[in-house]
Amino acid sequence: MTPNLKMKIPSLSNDTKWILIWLAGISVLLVWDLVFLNKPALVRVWLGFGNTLLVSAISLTTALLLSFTVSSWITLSRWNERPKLARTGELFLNIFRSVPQIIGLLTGFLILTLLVTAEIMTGKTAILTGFGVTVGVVIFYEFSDMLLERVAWFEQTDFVSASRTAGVPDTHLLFIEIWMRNSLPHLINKLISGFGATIFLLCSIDFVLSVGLSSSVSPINFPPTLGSMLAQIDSKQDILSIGILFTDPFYFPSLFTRHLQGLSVAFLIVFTLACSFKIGNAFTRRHRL
Amino acid sequence: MGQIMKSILFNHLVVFLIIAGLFTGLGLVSVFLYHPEKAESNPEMTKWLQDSTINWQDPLHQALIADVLDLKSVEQDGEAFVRSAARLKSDETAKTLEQLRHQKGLVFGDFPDFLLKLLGFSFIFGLVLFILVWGSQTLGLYRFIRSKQGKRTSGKQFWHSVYSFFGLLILFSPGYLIAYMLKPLIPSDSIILMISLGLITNGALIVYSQKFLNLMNQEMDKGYVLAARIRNVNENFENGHQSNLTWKAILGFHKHFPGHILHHILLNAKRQYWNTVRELAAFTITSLIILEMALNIQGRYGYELLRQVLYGNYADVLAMMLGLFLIVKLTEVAIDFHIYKQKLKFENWK
Repeated sequence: MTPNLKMKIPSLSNDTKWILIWLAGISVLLVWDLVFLNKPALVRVWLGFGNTLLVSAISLTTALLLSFTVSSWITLSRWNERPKLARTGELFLNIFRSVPQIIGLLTGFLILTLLVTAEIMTGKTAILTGFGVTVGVVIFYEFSDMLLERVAWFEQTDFVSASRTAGVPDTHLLFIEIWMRNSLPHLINKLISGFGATIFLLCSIDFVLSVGLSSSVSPINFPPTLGSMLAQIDSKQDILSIGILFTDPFYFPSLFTRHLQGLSVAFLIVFTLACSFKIGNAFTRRHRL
Repeated sequence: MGQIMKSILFNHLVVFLIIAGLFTGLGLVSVFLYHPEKAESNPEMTKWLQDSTINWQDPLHQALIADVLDLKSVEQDGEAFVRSAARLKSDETAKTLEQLRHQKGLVFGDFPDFLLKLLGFSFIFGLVLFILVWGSQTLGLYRFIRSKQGKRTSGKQFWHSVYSFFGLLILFSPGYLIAYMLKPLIPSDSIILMISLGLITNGALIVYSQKFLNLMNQEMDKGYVLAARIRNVNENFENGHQSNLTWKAILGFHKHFPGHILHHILLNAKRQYWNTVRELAAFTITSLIILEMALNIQGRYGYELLRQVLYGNYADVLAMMLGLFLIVKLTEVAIDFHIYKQKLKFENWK
């Protein structure tokens, strides 16, 4: 019997492939920037990217904590026949659901601006945490909706009533059985889409803020993020230079060396958004969500 | 009007009153408590700021000056000095700009102009939302039909993936990024450009078409589709009159495919999709405001909102945000009314 000499490459799921593509794209850009971008700009671009990722992590944590709190408040009140408490929770959630994200973000950033102006909030970590919490508060209702949908789905079956009759404590049934053991893929899927939403909202609001939210708070006071980096005049000129291609296509190679700051920032934003969409889609398909 | 619809309307009213009360409270607090403090300067900083050759926004200039100051004195933190100087410079520039422009609040200073701007914004929002709903359903349906046809661009699969990915990058680009790219060709204050960017960019079209596609795929797995298959309902997904899948039917707003299995899948998916439209409405407002603010389209609602923020007219800002909230609430009421009518028809609601 001849041995099979072919090396068996483990097949990767599409979502893992897209995570690897994202990491590879970011790494290639980092190497390119290390070679061609001047040091101060390089530090600011990658510090901005790091800060953006940090804000996303804080935002998702805030959204998770808030959504678990509100959803358990609504569900446990309903199960324990406290309709007034449950309705109050639903009203609270409805308020956040109805407020367009831009209003929530502007209000949050206005408060942050006032805090920075009054020098109550000065540290960079505190400001970044403020960004993350603001975005988290704005998007948490999407997580809550998903958690409540899962509860509603299990309530349609006999699972909830049978477990409660069998004496399973409500908190154990809700947190462990429904959300942890039977909704983990849904939760991960929400985290992926929440990551994309956070990047988009943060970059957009930071861009707007850097264009001019306050005369006393400038991008210099706020730690750099991808949005504020994009709003810098150098980056804007770099993006404008892409338009030159319509009249002079041979300018294309120069873009990658002469206009690297703006292009790097734009690429980091757009590539991350596109990859998070692809990762989320592949994950949805794999788990048939 | 049924009891259920009355209860839905009551909920919307309560939420609106709560938000209006909150904003009024915040507005009063801002009027009575907000007094911005001015940054202080020192003589050395003033000397540096008078040098017109320095661009305080340029990271290279900032780094060079910080290095020079670090070398000059061990005690002085060059980076902190540069940061304060740049802040002072931007304060001075903003102050000059404020003096040049009039600082009258929009809502409480010129109410008819505010209303006009709100109506203009509502019109653009309504148009973009309408086209987005149609576009996302049409794109979702087209992708669903393509997947059922099992068409693959064989031999050119790699290049097809590359083109698709570049297309995806454009669809996911924030609108202001594309607007800056096109600035040498198209003026960024064009309303047509704004509508186009609101439709194509920010990922709205692709994300919501994907949601519609997911709903259709979920419907495909349901029992009534299997039962229809057993009864030999037309399942031909090739384009043409034989299958009823004509371009006219695909691109139309109502999208009817009588006698085809797709007809019922589409009806059920569309019914569930209306809950997503509520989400889409809020997202459309967000992306349009961001576009108007980021592109500095003078005289538009978003630009005026940003201007009032810059002048510190927080009462006006809150009133303008309440205007946006009112648009979203009215859209939600309209969507809920549509869903209610659908439920009356299909689920025997009373």
